Amino acid sequence: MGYKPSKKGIPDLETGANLTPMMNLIMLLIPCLLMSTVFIEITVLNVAAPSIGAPGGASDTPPQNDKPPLNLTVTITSKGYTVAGSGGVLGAEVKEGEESKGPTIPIKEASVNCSQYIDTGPVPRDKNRDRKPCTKDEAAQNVHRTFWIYDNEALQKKLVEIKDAYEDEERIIISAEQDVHYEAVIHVIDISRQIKDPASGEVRELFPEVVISPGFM
Amino acid sequence: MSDQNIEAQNASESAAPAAAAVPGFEPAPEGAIKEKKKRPVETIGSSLSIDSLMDIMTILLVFLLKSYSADPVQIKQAPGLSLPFATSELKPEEATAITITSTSITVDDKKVVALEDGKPNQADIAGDHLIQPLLDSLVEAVDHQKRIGQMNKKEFSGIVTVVADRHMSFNMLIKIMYTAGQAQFSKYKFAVIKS
Repeated sequence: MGYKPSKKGIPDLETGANLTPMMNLIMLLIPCLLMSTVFIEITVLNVAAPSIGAPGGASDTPPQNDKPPLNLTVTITSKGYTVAGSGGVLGAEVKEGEESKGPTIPIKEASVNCSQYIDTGPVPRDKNRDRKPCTKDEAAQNVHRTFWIYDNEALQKKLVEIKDAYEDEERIIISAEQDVHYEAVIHVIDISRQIKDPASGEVRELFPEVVISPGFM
Repeated sequence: MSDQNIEAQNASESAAPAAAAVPGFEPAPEGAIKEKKKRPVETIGSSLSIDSLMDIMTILLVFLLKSYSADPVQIKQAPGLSLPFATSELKPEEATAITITSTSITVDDKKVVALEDGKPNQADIAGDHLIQPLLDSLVEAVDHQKRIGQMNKKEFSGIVTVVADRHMSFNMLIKIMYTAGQAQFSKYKFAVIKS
């Protein structure tokens, strides 16, 4: 019979692992990664190049359809959008603005939210050259300023009309003047792909097959 | 607590010095017995608990590492590069990326052409639209992809992602697309910021 050994001198071992080096590492890694991460969502728009000689659009259309291909073309100029199709096929509403008479959908002056335009202005920038670009502060405060802009709503309305008349058409050809900015091209691609009903959120495909054409060069 | 109780406490405290005054009776120093009974206080483990903080940090670290590696298109912040906005919801795919800023063209992070005012040097242009250094670099990238494709029994996809500044001219876009076409790329994906 003896006494239980004394535990007086034994330190309490429940102090856990030493996390300090780990913490140092994490504290350095997190700011590093945070700085390199860009918190904007990048998406893409699909575009096809014009394929010479390949009957891509023609083979897609059903053989019983006697209609020649529509060749719907939207040309972007600094004056606006010109919407055209292969002659004699399209309805009168599309042919009304031929290239010689000026654009089908001219540019308009409108109030624009500065939030997407830091140190720049909306397209067509040539027309907005005499106007002060949106500053960073104005962009942050969602200030509205008046600029010349392309009438995207009118173009989309027109494209919906064309889609109603030519249900089978999938292809749209986009062309532009040499100095038209890339942003304007992107806007046309974006609105000609599909239309979203703001009320129901329903998406309707318009012309998902986008082809960029060098146009008149 | 009532006022009476407080008065009673005060009275008992004032009684203690009175007892000390009695001759031949030394009172033990106050708290001596109590201190002996008390367990020695351990001071080692009483620092701020960082376990929960570590949990947060670890989750944050994993999240950041994941989002860092998941993006097939790495957009580097550059002064001459601001992408246009669009409503597209298509996710970018793993592909060769051509980045066009106002000062340079890069292919997969390798600078190939210097631009002045968004235009290439006349010496770099062959024919009407072909940008020769860009073509060389793209052909190299295609060869590389094809070699990898052979090992994996995969066909060359022909996809190229165009990451371009919103101020780039249409003329330049045509040059880029034409050059990429010459290097056997047939599907173009234009990178935009989802608005």
